[in-house]
Amino acid sequence: MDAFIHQVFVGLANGSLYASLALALVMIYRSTGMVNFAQGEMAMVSTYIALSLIQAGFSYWTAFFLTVALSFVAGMAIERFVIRPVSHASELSVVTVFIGLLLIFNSIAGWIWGYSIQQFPSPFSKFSFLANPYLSLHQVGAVGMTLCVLILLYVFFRFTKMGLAMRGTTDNGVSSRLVGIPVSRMLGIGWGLAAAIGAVVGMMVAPSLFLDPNMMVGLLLYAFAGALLGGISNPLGAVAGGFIVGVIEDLLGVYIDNELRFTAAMVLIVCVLLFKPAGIWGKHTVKRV
Amino acid sequence: MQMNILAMRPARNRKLLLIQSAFVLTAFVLPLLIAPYQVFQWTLIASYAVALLGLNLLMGYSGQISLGHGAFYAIGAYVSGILIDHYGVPYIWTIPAAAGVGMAFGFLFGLPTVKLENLYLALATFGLAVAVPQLLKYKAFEDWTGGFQGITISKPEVPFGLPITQDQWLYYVSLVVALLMFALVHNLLRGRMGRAIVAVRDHPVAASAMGVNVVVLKALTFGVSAMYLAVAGALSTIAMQYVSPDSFAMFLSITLLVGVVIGGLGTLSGALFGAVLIGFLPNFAEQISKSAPGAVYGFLLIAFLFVMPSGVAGGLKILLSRVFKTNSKHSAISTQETK
Amino acid sequence: MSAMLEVENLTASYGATRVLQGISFKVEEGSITVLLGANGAGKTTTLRALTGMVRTTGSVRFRGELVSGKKTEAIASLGIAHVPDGRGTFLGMSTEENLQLGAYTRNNRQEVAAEIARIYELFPQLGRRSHQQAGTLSGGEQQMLAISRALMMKPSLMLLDEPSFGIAPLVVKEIFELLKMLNRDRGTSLLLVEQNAAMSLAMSHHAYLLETGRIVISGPSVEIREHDAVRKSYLGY
Repeated sequence: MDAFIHQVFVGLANGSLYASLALALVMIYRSTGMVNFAQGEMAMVSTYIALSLIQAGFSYWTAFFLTVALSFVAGMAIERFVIRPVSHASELSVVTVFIGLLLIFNSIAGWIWGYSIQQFPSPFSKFSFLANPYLSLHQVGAVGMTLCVLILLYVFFRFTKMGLAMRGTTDNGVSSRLVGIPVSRMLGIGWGLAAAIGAVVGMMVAPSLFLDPNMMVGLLLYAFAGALLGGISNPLGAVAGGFIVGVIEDLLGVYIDNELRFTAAMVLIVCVLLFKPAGIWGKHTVKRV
Repeated sequence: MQMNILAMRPARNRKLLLIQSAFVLTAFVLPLLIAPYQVFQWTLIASYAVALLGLNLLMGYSGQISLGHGAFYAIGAYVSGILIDHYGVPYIWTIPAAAGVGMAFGFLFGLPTVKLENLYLALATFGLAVAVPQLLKYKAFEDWTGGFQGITISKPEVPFGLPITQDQWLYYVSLVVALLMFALVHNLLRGRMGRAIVAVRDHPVAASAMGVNVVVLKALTFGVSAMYLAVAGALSTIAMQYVSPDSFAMFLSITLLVGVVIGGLGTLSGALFGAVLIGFLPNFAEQISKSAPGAVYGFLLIAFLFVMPSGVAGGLKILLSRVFKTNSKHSAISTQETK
Repeated sequence: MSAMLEVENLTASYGATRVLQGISFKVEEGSITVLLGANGAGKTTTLRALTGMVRTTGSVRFRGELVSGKKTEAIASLGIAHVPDGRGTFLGMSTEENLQLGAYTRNNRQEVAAEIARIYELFPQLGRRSHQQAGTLSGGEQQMLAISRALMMKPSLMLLDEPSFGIAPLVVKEIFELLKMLNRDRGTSLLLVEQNAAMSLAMSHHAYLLETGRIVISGPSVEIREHDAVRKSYLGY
């Protein structure tokens, strides 16, 4: 029984990583209506920038917030110069642009920082009061950070004017303009926020997975699955989905077969989606024809 | 090579026929003029063209997204490899066998998943793309799939004592198959099923109200497109005499996606342009930058989408219509753009 | 004194197709003006042209200031509320959220809350469905919601695209009474675009008749009602 609980916690720890990346995906989705497949790579580059800052002598938290700010700006720039020009094209073209970004970021990271694995520091290693038999100090801290970001996002969308305006923008761009919402600016901010969240995610993931250009590739799929499972329009649901995916995947790996953990997890998730097409907690928008 | 639902004016028809004949002729003469390695490259391009025809059918005409069609390519490739290696089936028969298996798997996968909205379908197919290589490496199936090492087969001999090399023979086999597949999808799209597919893409509710069984049709389309991918996979096994799980990683699905979008969605000639692109781009990218070929790849992708969003085929069409000044009043209803 | 809205030689095109051939009209401050026309005459396009949603040439002046060429959201912030054809409901959001979005350009939260309460008094149906997803409301309710959303902008000029379209006659009457009240009590100027000639001529001050992108008749509504051509084609007698 104890072994089982241990596995559950390991699953939760992994799940927190998926959940936090899922949050970035939700952010972009809610503000732009698109799923950014390059999100993982952007987060990875942000993490490398943070590492460079730390190596240049900045303290961890200074580097942390500086990276978050830089990522915000970069996100806005990408929206303005790469995404906006093709936003009127077909959905598939947009997805292809994301994949192009993915390739570019992945390659450039390897080119600038090399492909060897690097260590990334954890800010939680001094918080010994978090020690417990199931999770490392960093994992507990990372889970906490995920929950913090989640709460901030939830409050943002639910209670702030800008959050409301962003939701309106994805719902009906034309009507948003007609009530005075600067839609293009909203999209830029949405991207900036998503990039910022991605930076946080990267910095939480790196100490566990070790930093290399391919760090986020596998993570993206699990995050995507978690977001859809929980409901991509719902930050809370997406995070829960991420945790669930983490636990399921780990348990399946242990109790069925380690080689098939991914396949089994995917089958399960697709089955759930067939019964609940908008995800477990997703809102199914009813359309009158 | 455009898909026009309404009949084309005779003059335009003739021009098109001329272009097509010229092209086919060039294709047949080509291998006699170039070096063996290039013949091999073009053989693979034929296989990619078939693959892109299938993916285009699904994404361009049926409007469904798939990030995982590489999985069906893998299935076709392995069916061919296993049949040749374990059962001694002549390589030519493995192609229809792969087609059948691909169609079956595609249809079965499609039946439950086509009901999902695009985003969720993307995830399901993404998952498929990652799962299949894992399954191919799985220990329990190793006797069949050869595990990590894959399967190697011997290079097919030139039959009937024809005075051409083995490479050239394989090229001709692939070319003929590609032309057949092209004709098949062309006829499919002109007929009732083609119209139904486009109707379902543009307005599923209306189509359903007119008696089209949307789910079955979409699943069938999925199956047919999977069949194309499987045939392409079989061709690649025959051309390379080798199949292994690592050649079918996520990157393949991404490559195919890139090819079909840049080539031009919703046009059949787009499949050809895309195939040429896929065939030569990796080498080209590596020449520009040894250390970051992926960046070049991605950059070109984005540049194309900025400059020519309807793909090479679309851009060419615009160019040609200006050159020939064809009266577009009688042209087909625009079926091309997805949204 | 210049009119509230002055349009001069306005053309509008969708791609290569020109829909408005150069029209000129005015909306006087505090009046109800109606733009009549059959399907395809260019009524919706006119409103879209006024709020910067299509490519135009010619000039549009709002209270003397040139607004043609400005972005839609900038025009909206000047106090022009456009209730589009199809209602433009934020389908996935609740009724109340739709109203809150209408108040985007306003900063006083108490005023906004008070305004919402007033809307619920005016339209109890909306009040009952305040947390319901707006996409599930009936056509008539969505029209009320669309008008209410425009009201939340505290506009000085309202542009309404076929407010009677697809709505039961009794509800249309309610809506038109509301519009008259707004104009009378709050002084809101209205530019109505309509196919329903009888009702709109009865409640408006000025009228213009649009046919295939050109204004063919204009004048005070009372006169237009008696006009032979209008009577035969649009009023049926």
